[in-house]
Amino acid sequence: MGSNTITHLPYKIEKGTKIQKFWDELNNDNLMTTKCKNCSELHFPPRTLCPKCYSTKTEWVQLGLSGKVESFTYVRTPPLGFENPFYLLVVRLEDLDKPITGRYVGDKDIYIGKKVVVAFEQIEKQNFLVFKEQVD
Amino acid sequence: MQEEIAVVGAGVTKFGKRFDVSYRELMAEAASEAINSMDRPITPNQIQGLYVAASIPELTVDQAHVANLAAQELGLEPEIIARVEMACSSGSTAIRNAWAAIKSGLIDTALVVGLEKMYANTQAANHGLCIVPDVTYEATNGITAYSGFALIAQEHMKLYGTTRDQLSSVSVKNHSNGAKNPKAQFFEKGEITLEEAKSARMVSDPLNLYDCSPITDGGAAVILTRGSLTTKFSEQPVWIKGSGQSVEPSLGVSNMKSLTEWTALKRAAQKAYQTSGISPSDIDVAEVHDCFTIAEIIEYEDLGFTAKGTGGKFIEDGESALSGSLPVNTSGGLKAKGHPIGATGVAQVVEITEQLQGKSGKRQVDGANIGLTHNLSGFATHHVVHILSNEEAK
Repeated sequence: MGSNTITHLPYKIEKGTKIQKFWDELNNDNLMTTKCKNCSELHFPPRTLCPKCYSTKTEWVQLGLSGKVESFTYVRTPPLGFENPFYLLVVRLEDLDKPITGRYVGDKDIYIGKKVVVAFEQIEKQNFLVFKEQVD
Repeated sequence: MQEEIAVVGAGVTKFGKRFDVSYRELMAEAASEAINSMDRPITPNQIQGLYVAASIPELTVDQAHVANLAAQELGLEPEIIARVEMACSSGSTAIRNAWAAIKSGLIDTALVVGLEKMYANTQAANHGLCIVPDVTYEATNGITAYSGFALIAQEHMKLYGTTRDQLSSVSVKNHSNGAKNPKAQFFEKGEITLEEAKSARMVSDPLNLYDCSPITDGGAAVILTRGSLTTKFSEQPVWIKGSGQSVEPSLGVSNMKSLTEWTALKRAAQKAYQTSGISPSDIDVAEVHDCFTIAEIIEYEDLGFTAKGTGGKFIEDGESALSGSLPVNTSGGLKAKGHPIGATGVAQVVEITEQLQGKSGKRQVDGANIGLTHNLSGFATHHVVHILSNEEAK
């Protein structure tokens, strides 16, 4: 655990677009998303069009990194591109009323309700979010 | 009263590893199975609508524009034609679109063919499955179909006390049914024991190999027509009494309301029950989307066969067994019949059609008059439900 389970992305990701700030800020160890300036809906993933009111006026907000495990699995057969087994989590962040998923790179004591924090793991010069245990 | 629409032809190919046929040969075989099931086989000039359900032929066999390929192979000049891609629910979505085109009055008769050839390029097929969820924001984090459904299973077990034995019992039942279906991928394998199912290699906790459906080559086809024309083709039409579809505004996990209570399925089911005037207790036989064992357990609940949280008990008590009160997945389901993703939703309607016609051989449900199909895609984000009956007026 703790070592990269992936060194090369098996997927193409479109970058350099209106939501580039999301990727840039991940590289600064920040998790950003968009919020609608018209109806205040908090989005995840970030959006250019609010799905609640169809406003295109969105602003960037920074999310806190703390959350709790809602569900988890130990993926023993890694998908294409992933080299080793890993824990996969569904996490509910304190700042976001939507679950997010990610690999877990912390200690082996994992259970539903455990407090975790977002961490960052670099793949091909781009940080992606992962989770690790919260140290109080 | 609006004119009802019926299935007048239905057939499936042998499912499994089909290195003996090309993609287009498989397409022709599926169509041929449906045409030859008809009391008076249809001719090309009678087919006005053509729908091809195919999810990943661009990846596995390097062929795009496959509905046009079907027009070529089957010698058709339809007035309405479309290729339908909704991942694992492409088949039922194509049937719903054909049904809607007939319902609208645009056409009278349509052929729906669903197929997938996944063993032609297994790496491409795996990639095709991996890119069904939200690739940019979720698949990059390592989530795929089996780990996604494992997360669903973990939460259902925690919330409702669903057990390892209950998950495996779904697999045992479906393999037992598949052992009675010569077209099933695992027909030759025969039955499996609970011990075998429980002790299989773990894939993503708590789902092991026997909790997961396989990749498959296979095709299925149905022919639909309006009520006034059924006698031209069939002595035993099977009527589409209800049809419902719904989707979550979520491509992955992030925008789903709940992992374990599928609100889109409940909406689709309610629509199908409402439009048919049929209730869950009227259903004699059902084909549901058991891509993973946990999915079948949640579907018992959200289709209204049993109360929320009691899906595990429903399988444990044998209610969904061939001899139970509501036999589910008599074909073997996705688990044992196989899951050629574009074909699955069509093959489910074929199985129910044959059940309601009394043609299901060793797996026939005695006195089956009303059947249901359920087909899903993504992390249970999109659902299609059909209700069929062998009587026009219920």
